[in-house]
Amino acid sequence: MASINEISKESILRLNGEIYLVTDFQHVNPGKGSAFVRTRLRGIKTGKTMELTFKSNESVDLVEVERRRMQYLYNNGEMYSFMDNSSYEQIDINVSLLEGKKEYLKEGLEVMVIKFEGIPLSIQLPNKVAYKIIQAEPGVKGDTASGNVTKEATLETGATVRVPLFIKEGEEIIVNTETGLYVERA
Amino acid sequence: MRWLEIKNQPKIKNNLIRRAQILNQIRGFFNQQGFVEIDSPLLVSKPNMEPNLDVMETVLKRNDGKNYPAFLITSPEFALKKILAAGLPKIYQLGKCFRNSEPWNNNHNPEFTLLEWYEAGSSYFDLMTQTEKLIRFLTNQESSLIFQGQKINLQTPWLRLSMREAWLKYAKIDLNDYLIYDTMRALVERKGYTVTEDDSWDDLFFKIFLTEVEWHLQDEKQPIFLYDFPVSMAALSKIKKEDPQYAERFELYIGGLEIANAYSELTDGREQRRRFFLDQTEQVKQGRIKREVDEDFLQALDSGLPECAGIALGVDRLIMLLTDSGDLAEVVPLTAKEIF
Repeated sequence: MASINEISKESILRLNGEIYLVTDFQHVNPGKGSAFVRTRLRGIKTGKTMELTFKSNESVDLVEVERRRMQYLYNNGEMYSFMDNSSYEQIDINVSLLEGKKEYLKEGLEVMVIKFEGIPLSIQLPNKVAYKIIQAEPGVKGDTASGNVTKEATLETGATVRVPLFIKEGEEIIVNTETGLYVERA
Repeated sequence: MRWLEIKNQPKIKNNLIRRAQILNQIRGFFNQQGFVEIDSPLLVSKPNMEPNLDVMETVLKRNDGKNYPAFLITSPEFALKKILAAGLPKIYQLGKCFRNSEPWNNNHNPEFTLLEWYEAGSSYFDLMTQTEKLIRFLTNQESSLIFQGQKINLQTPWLRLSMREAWLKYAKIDLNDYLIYDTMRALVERKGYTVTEDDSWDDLFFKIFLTEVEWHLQDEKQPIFLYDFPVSMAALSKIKKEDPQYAERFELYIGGLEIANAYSELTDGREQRRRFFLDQTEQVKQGRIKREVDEDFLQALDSGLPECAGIALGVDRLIMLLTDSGDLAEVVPLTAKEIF
């Protein structure tokens, strides 16, 4: 048993006999009440999502999961394939489990695959990853006066990110995969 | 280092300039209506009693060696009510307040700016109208504002929903059927939430409220006054004469942020004393130090606090709305995260 305060994204809880993946959580402090943790959960077996709020001092049944380092290979639109470099074992993960993450997958990227009882649940991306900019407008110096210090750029994965005006097409940049924000030049 | 960010990001620099203008405009708004600004002490000997707020403690030392335990205010409420009892009917305080043991996130900072105002002879509904006027004044009578990609309609009157109506509308539950502990507990369990032995009725209420009700307030795309809270959450507000299960309290939500908290103020010293006693019990239960009752404050009530209403408004959050900033750090010179 652990305190609900200790959960993080990708934690697994056992609740009323069911196993749930924590897809999102937020500490909420209504000044008028105790501290609470609001969570968004996804049933592992059912795939159904639900929202639940706990008091922050409650204990929950945190379940051990298997984390395996794997390399992203390719996708066919629906299934994304990953390979374990040491065992050459390959698994396919359905795109529905990769929401918010698939836009950061580039060939060869090493991720942590989270499995429970052999079933892949989710992946964890490295916090900061380098990507090539394949499309960006040339930045115009005059823009800074209006407060526009960023412009939109497209990464090699197709994802868009806001970058400083001095970044050019063809350059490599580091992106924070948690926030989707530009960090620095690679 | 945040000052560097202020230097490199025109938006934050502009926000600080706008912040100064807003603080000035707030004062202008109230001064023009004959309110007197009161800058009551931030350092007090008897702090706010609310058990869910943690106070910051220090030691006050005098040059002759005398030491006093002292606390930073979580709100200027007690001092302002004393001033009201002393005979100033329209007063406000615009200044810092301090709350310990809270998260340091995008809408909380341990030190923050609160605007609190009181008007003798007003009801809490009068305050709703006045709040609408204040915020419309600060937005230059614009009919809407954009906040984090959402357009919020500012045309008055803003939506007013009682807590009971909000539960019915969004959670499809009639709160009146669940005002007793056992019925609320059964409801919470039935819906699949966890229940522990030390969950109070308020805790159970919040489990549902935070998941199924509060979230939906943003969907209305306009400011909402959520009023008439269950009596256990009355704090320092008056119990409704027409329905003693509820208290004359409201909160203002805009863009998903809780912006203000207001009451028809409790003027009955005996009832206030009773609530303070309950607060002390709760403080101990929560493992916090037991705070002493401000007898001077109770005396002010007994001596005749005029019938009045008061409201506390989070200025930092208001400035977030007015500058379309998603993080409090963008509208405040320095936050705890940068200092500590």
